[in-house]
Amino acid sequence: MLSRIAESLFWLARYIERAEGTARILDVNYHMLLEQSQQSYRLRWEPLIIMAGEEDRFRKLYKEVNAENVFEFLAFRHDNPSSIVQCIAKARENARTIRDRMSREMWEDINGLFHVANSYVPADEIAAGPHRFCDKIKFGAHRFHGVTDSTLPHDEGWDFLRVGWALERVEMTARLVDVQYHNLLDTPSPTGALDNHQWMAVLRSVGAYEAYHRQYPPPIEPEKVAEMLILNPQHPHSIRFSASEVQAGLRAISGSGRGSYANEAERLAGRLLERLSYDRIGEIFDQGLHGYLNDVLRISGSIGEDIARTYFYYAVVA
Amino acid sequence: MNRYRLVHTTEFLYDGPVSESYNEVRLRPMHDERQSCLSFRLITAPMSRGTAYRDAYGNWVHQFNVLAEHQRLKVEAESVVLAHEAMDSSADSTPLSDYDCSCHQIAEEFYDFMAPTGYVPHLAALEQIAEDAEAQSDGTVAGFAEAASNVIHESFRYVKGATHVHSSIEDSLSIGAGVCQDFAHVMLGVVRMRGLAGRYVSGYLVPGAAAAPDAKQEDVIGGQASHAWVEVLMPNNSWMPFDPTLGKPVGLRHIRIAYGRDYGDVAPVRGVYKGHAGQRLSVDVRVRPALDDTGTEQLAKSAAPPAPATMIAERPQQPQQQQ
Amino acid sequence: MGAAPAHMASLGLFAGYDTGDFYDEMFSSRGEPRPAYTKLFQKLATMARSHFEERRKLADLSFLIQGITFTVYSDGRGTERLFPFDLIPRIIPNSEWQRIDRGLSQRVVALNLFLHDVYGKQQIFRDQRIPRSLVYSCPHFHREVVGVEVPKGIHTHICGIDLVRDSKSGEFCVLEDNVRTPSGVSYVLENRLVMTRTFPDAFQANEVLPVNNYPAELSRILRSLSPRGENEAQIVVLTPGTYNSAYFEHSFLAQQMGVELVEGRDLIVDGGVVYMKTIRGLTRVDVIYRRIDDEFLDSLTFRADSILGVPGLMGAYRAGNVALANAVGNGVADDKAIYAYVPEFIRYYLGEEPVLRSVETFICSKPQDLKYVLDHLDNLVVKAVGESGGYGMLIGPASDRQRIEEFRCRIKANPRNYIAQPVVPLSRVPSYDASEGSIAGRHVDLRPYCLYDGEKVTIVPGGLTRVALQRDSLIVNSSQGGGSKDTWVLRGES
Repeated sequence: MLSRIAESLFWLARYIERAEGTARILDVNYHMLLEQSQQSYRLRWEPLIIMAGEEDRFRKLYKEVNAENVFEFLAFRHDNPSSIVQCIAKARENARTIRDRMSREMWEDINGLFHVANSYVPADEIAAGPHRFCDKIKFGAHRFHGVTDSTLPHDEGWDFLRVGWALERVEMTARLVDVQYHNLLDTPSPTGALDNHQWMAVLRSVGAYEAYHRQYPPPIEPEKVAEMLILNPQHPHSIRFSASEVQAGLRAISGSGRGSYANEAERLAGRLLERLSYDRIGEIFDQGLHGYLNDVLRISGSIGEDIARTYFYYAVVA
Repeated sequence: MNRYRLVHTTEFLYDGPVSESYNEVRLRPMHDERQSCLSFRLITAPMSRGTAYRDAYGNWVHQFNVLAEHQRLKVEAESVVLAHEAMDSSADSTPLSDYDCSCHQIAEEFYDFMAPTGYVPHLAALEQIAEDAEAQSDGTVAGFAEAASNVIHESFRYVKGATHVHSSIEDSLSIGAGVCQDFAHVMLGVVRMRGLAGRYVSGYLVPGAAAAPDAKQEDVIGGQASHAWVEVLMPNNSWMPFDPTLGKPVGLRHIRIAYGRDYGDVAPVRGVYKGHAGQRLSVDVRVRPALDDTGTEQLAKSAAPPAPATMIAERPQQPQQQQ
Repeated sequence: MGAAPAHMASLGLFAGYDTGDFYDEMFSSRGEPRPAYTKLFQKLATMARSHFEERRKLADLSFLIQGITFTVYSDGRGTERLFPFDLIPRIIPNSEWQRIDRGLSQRVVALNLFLHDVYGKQQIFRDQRIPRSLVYSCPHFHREVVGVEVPKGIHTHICGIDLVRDSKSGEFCVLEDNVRTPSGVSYVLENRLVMTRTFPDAFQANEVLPVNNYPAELSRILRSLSPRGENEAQIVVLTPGTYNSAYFEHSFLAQQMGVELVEGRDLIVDGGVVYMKTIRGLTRVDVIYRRIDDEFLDSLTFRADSILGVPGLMGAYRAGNVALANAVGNGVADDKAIYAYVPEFIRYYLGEEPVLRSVETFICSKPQDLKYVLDHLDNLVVKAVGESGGYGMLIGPASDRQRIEEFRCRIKANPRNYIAQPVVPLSRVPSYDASEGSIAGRHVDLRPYCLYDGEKVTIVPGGLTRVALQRDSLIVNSSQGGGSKDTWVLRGES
C-alpha cells in the first residue's frame, strides 16, 4: 500500500471521528445547558471551546460566549478548522485522493454526507437548535463506519482506518473527561448539590449513559464516571478500549505478535494500554487526574507522530 | 604537446541537509576525427550510481542521483584527450551571394542551428554587427564569419560578472560586455540572422603554458572554468570554428565537449534536489600534459557568489556560467 | 429553413421543434425520424414532461453523489461542478460507425508511425513530405526524446480524436487529434451507467453496443509494455492530484483497472529505476499511465519548477526501465499546424487514401496562407496551435471588430502559433432545454477513444458526444458551458 494512501485513510478516520465527537458533545450539552441558570451560562459553554482547543480563534470571532455562537462556531464556521463542516470537508478531501482505493459505497457515503452537511443553512439551524443537525452528523458517521466495515476488505488499509478512529477517540475522551471534571467540580452548583444533571450530559456525550447505569447504582458519582470513561475495557468510547484498538490495529499492520513490538508507535501503545489495564481509578486520582490525562494525550500524540515516521514519511536511504 | 589530462571539479556546498539530488552532466570530451577521448572517468561524492546516454546532438550525458541526506556534492570529471593535427582542409571560398540562393535548403536541414532561441533571439542590434562584418569581409561565407568573430572580439569587452548564466544576448548587447558564453551567443545571433547555420560549442581552452612541450606545472584554464565558442556551417558542409572571445583561430588547444543551439543545450552540470538549504557553487578546471604526473599541485578555486537562500522544497542546482 | 415537421407540433416535449439550417441527427430534412432513431423518438414523443424532468433530476443527483465533477477555478477557491448531462442519447448508425472505425484506426496508426519517424530515423524529412522547420518549431516537439526507443514502438497508446459532422455534407470529418493525455473516457462509461439506471426503458428495443470493455483493454495494453514482462508488471496511473480538473477520471481508471493511483511524490527514481513509496518500503514500477503533461514530468529534464512530476524519470524511461503511456513528445503530432499534414502521413506511411476527411486548414507560417487568413478573418476560425479546450480561439463570424483586430495583431506577431479553418456548421441533436422545458436542436461533436497495442486499434463504440447546451453556441467544451450525452452505436443494420 502506498504510504500516501495509508496516511489519507488514517486522517479520513480521524476527521470523521472528530466530527462525530463534536456533534455529540454539542448536542447533549446544548440541551442540558439550556436548562441552566443564566449566571452559570458562560461558565458552562466555555469548556466546549476549550475541548476543541480553539479558545483564541473563538475570541477573535465572537464577543460573547453563548449557545448560538458556540453552536455556530463548532458546527458551521468554515474558518474554524475544527468545526464539524470543516472536519467533514477534510475527511472527504482525504477520501477524494484515495477514492480508487476505497469501495464505491464508502465514497458515495462520505461524499453524500459532505453534501448534506453543507446543505444546512446555519441561521435556520441556530434557530432550530443543534439536535437535528448533530443527529444527522452522528448517524452519518455511524453509517460510514458500517459501510466501511461491510464493503472494505479488512486488510491493512482497514487497519489504518481503525487506528485513526481509535487514536482520535483516545484524545477526544481524554479531553472531555479532563475539561468537564474540573469544570464541574470547580464551579459551585446553584443547587448546592453535586450536579447530577451535568454528569449525565458527560456520559451521554460519549453514548455511555445507559452503560453506566447497568454497571453502577445511582446516583451518578464523578469518580465512577471517570472510571467508566478511562478504564472500562468494553465501552467503545473509553480510553482503555480505544487504546487496545490502536494496539490491535498497529499489530495487524506490522504482524508483530503478543509481547513484542515492531516500532516505536507499537511500543508506546503497549505501554499506554498496560497502564490503563492495571491502574485503579483511586490511584489515578491520588496522582492527579489532570496530570494523568495529560500523559495520555502526550503519549497519544507521540504514537501519531511515530506512525507517520514509520509508515508515511520514512527516510529514503540509498 | 597535444595530449592533455583534464580534471573538471564542480562542488556544491549547502547550508543544511539536502536529499534526493538528481543531476545531469555533459563533461565527456568528444571523440571524433578531430580529437580522441582516450579515457573518461566521473567520480561523485557522495557516491552514486549513474546512467549515460547520448542526446539529440550526439553529446554524451551522464545522469546520477544521491538520495540520502548530504551537505556537499562533488562531481569530478577526469579525461585524457588527444587533439589531432588539423587536416589540410581547403578553405571554402563560396561567395555569400551564391550561398544566399541555396540557403533555403540549409534552413530546412539545419533548422535548429538557424532558428532563434531563448538565449539567442533575433534582434535588430545584431543586424548592425552583421553589416559591419560583411563590409569588412572578402565577400565569402568563411570571410564573413571570420569578420563577424573579429568585430565581436573588438567591440565587446571581456568582463567577468557583467552577465550571469541565464543572460540572453540582450544583456550583453546593452552593456557591450560579457564572458565567453555571451560572445558565443552574440556570434550565433549574427550568423543566424545572416542566414547561416551556427552551433554553440562547449569545451576547454588549454592555456599556452600547459601546452608547451616543457610544461610541468598544472595550470588553470579558460578563466578557471569551461570555455565556449561557435562553429559555422560552410557551403561545403563542413563546420568551421570561431572563437570570438579569444579573437584568434581555433586550434589544438580547443577541446570540444558538446554541441547545441545555445548554452541551454550543453550546460556542464544541471540538477535538482530537495531541501530548504541555500547553496554555493565552486568550479575548478585543471589541465596538465598527460604524460607527466610530477607537477606540483597548485589548486585554484573560484567561488561563485552564494545563491539567495529562498525557501522552496525542490530546487535547481546552481548552473555554472561558461567563461 | 427546415420547418418543424407538421406532425410533431402536437408531440409533447418535441412541440415547436425546428431542425433549422443544420444537419439534424434525429430527423431527416423532411422531418421524419431517421431509421436509427425511430424507436427512441417514439419513446420520447409520448413521454410526459414531468416524467422526463424527474428522470433528469435523478440522473443529476446520481452524478453529484458519485462525485463525477470537474473543478473550476474561476472563483479562486475551486468549486466542483457537474459536467451537465443531457438525457437524450445520440445515436450513430452502425454502417456509419464502421466507416469511422476504419478511418480512426488508419489515422492512429499513421500518427504513431509519424512520431516513431520524427523521433527516430526522420525519413519523412528526407523524402520531403513535411518541412523539418514546421515539426521542429512545434512547442511540443521534444528534442529530449530524439533517439529514445519506446517499448514495441508505440507512441500513441491512447488517442481521443475529435470528429464533427459537417451540416453541409452530412459527413463526419476530423477536427482535431488528441494524442497527449486525452480525457473524457470516464464520462463515456459513467454516462452509460447513469443512463441505464435512470432511463432503462430507452434501451428497450434498441440493441446498444457496450462500452465497458475500455478499462480491461487499456490494462491489457499497459501490461504488455512492462520491461520485466507481463507477469511482474507493476502498473500505476500518475495524476497531478485532486486539484486537476480530470482527477475523477484518473481515479476512476485506476480503480477500474485495479492499479495504484499515484502522485509524483509517491514515486522516486534510483539508479535509473522507478519505485513507489509504500508502507513496506520501495516497490518497483514498470508502467506509468501518466496524466501529467510532458513539461511537468521530470524537473531534471523539463521544467525545473515542476513539483508534479518525478525527477530522474526521463532517465529511467530512456534506459528502458519504465514504460510511459502515452510516450513523451506526442504533442508534435496533435499540433494544429501538423494536423494539415495527417492525410499526407496516411498516404506516405500506409499507402492508403484517408477514409475520413479533414477540415481545410490554413497554416499562418506559410506566407500565402497568412495573407488569405488576414484577408478573411471575418469568415474563419483561428486557433492557437498549442492550445486546447476552446481557449485561444477566434470564431470570426461570431466576433466583433475589436476582437478580430486583436487576433490580427497576434497572428502577425507570431504566425507559427496560429492556423485558421473555415467555420464548420456542426450537426445538431435534440437536447433538453431546462429553461424552456422542451426539446431543441443543439450542436454536438464526437470524441471516440482509441487504444493501440502496436498491432490493432480498438475503439470504444461511440465515444463522448459533447453538446453545446447554449442556444446557437458552437463551443462544446465543458469549461465553456458544454455538456455531454450518452452515445449509442446500434448493433447490426440500422
